[in-house]
Amino acid sequence: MFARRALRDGAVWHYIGLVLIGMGLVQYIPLMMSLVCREWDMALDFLISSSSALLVGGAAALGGRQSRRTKLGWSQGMMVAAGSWFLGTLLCALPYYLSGNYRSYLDSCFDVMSGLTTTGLTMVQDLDHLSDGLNMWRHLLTFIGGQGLVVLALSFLVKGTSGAYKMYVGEAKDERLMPNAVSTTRYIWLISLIYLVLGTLVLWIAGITAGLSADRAFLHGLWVFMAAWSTGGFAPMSQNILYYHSAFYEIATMVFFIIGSFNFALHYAVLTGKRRELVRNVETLSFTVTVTVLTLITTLGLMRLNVYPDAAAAFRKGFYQLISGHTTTGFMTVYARQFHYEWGDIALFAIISAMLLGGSACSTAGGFKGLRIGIIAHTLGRETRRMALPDSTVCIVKYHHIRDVVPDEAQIRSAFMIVILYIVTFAVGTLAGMLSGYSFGMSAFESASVTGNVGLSIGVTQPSMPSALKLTYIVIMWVARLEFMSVLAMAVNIAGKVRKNVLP
Amino acid sequence: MYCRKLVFMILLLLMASPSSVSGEEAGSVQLIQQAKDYDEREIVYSGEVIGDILRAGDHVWLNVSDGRSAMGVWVTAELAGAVEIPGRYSQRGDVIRVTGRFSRACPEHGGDMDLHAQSLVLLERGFPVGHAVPAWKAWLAAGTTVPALLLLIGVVRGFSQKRGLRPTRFTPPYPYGRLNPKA
Repeated sequence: MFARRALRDGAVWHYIGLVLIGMGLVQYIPLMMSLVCREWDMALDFLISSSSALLVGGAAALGGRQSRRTKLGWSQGMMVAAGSWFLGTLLCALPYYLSGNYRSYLDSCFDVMSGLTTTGLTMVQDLDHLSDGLNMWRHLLTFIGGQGLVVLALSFLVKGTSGAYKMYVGEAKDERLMPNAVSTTRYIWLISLIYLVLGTLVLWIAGITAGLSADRAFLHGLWVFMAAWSTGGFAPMSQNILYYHSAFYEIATMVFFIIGSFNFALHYAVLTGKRRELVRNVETLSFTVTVTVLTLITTLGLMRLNVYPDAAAAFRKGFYQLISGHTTTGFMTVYARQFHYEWGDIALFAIISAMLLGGSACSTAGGFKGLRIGIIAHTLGRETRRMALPDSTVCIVKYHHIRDVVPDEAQIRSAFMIVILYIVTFAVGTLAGMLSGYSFGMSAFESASVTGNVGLSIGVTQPSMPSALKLTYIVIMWVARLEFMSVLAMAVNIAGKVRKNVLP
Repeated sequence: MYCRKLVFMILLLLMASPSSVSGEEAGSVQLIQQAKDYDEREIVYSGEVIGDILRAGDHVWLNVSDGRSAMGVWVTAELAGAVEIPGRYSQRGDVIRVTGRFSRACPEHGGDMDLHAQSLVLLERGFPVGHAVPAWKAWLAAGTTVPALLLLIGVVRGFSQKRGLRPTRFTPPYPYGRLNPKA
């Protein structure tokens, strides 16, 4: 019993080690960028950070090598996911800290967690003078985080592991596009890389038409696409997308972050010729309904207060922020404080709701997810019908997601449970904001943004905010991105070990 | 160089400080937080040009930061001719002072908060910024990279051995079937 547990722990460390090795190797990309741009100090920062990740990851991978053929249980798979994200954040924050653009290591960790979870809130200081190497790292973290750290490791570093699917699920993805988890993760990367080429090209052209030089337009296009596709929200300049003053740029980013918020299974279906899936899928349907309703509410709220000179401007600004919040991207074409000073409660209510609802399951997006909203809506419909019909009538819930699905009670229970956990987390974040001295409205807005891994800000998130609130937001981003179960599994495991070994 | 940076920073802080300005002069924080008060009024705004000079026909977009936030300035290409160096990692940008009409939600530009400049004055030319490489970083990089790469080789060799892809000198010799056992 004890030997089996030790073997399993060894396997957990082995796979966490592999993920960290992956994160160490990936840092050679911004390192190259720094060398090309002659940013020698940044190149050294990346060399130090990459080596640290390789040392820690290599030691863990070698240490647990004997156990690597051990069959992982669900708990271990989840622990690999949660542990990788935790240690990955600590190690990936090193270049941020060494660059001097962050006040503390906590701020650096905040930005890494924000990037990996595709949240997009930032603690960086003097973003407008940031090095190209560090900008590459910020956006690369978001791009990798969108697909998932474990997905990265499974795709390129792991071969034929029996526990791969459990690690994959631990990262809040559960669609099987291919016969096994490793092929599925490779397909996810293939889809993302195809879009990376296409998206960079489009945003490159958009950047040139906005007035950027060809080389700058290319870099901005690459970075902004990475953030858009991953529904991340980082941008290379402090004004975010407002910097470009371009409707073309806004439309292009909007298209990419909407596509990025779709389920990878939907991408697979469409790419393999099932185009009707786009109009039949429960997630696209629920997304269309919620976006339409919330856009109307936002525009109404903005028009009521005469925030914008005409309906077109109100729609352009309102729709962009709303869709950015709904897809959990966090790109902005207004200043953060404008939400607080100008937008009014009705529009903010719509944006907060959109941020909590989120994008699709098994995508780069956060929030409740369209699939769960679809299941809950169908279940509520069934229960309502049941009340109106005779007792002997059998009502079943059915929705379309790739195929027609009749969810069992466990799936329905799981959908309700995860949504309740999101709401509890949102409440905790709001309370933490209020305890730190912010108003209810500001706290709720920022908490929704953090819980949904969105990145829209009303002005709470900044380097001067209290450390306790930063820490709370880091934990919320982490648990929400992994959809609670992985972190809970890790917490239960650690608590069990502490009880057994430390307490009398 | 440090002295120059210090003067530059003090200049930016003075520009951002409300107490140092008179009448219609405003900083970015004031403009954002009291946008309705300043809406469609002529104001004076100063700061560093950052990022890029975005050309749009006979006009140009300049994004001007006063050290707290950046504001989009819509200016004719002719006036913007004075601006040459935008601020980036390797350089501090030109510091300018613009006078123009502030719009909380500009009807001409899709509701953007911006400033349409009528005059532009160059206050200070931008300059290159050097980033010194501390010796300790070079030593630390060397000290961690070598063992990290050795460990990585160890991990890769460990996997290869296990999969039998690459026999190493530690592989026990195959005892049977060799053509010449004495060799």
